[in-house]
Amino acid sequence: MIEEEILKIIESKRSELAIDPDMEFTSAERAIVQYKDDRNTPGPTEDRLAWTIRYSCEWGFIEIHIDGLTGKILRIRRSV
Amino acid sequence: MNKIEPKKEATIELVAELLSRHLEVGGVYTSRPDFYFQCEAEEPREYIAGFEIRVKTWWHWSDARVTFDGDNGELMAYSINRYADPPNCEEMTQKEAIATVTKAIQVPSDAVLKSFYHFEYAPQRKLARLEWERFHQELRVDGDYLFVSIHPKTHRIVEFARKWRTLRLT
Repeated sequence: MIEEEILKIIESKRSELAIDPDMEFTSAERAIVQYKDDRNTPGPTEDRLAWTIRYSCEWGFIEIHIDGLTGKILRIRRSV
Repeated sequence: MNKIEPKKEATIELVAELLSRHLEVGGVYTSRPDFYFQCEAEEPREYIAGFEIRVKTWWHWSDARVTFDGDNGELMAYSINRYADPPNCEEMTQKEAIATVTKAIQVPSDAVLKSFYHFEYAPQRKLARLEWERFHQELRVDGDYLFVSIHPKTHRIVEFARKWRTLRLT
């Protein structure tokens, strides 16, 4: 998937992902990310080719990992 | 005034001074001896001819820490607590820092130097730091890292942290 497709997915899920209205798109990067279905239980992880998309504002950020092939949201990191 | 005026604080200061001298004999000069030991005075004990105050001491000599990967036992990080000693305001060049690191640590072939900078761990305690990122087939590997802190005056590696996982791309 290309960057524009990924950003469209995120914008359509903005409220579902709880992206604060103050936050604006900051960066997009293709990267290899670590993934596990249930991060709360120990065990092996796998790696995925993904887009890491970052939104930020003066008081914080959100980083979203999206599978580069399927568009599935793999992980969300928040500053707060 | 009671002759056995509790002079617990004065006693602690005296013991701390003695212990600080021991540190100096060992080559450690610090404005914060309490980083290395702590003292606690007991209540004064009275005798006919005077009194005594006993002081308990806890040596806090070093907090060396080592972290291993729980799955494969790989060394992930280590640090030593006295890493800002001796006091230092000097800086080193990136070339010197890399030469120091490569003597002790094998930097992975897919590591890309991200930054080199100095920072003050505490006032007049300056350290140099090198940080690498990992790139696999031109893609950054999120979550993997390697950083090393070096004492610029002694060229000691005082802190090391690395996560370089085995990739399982699916």
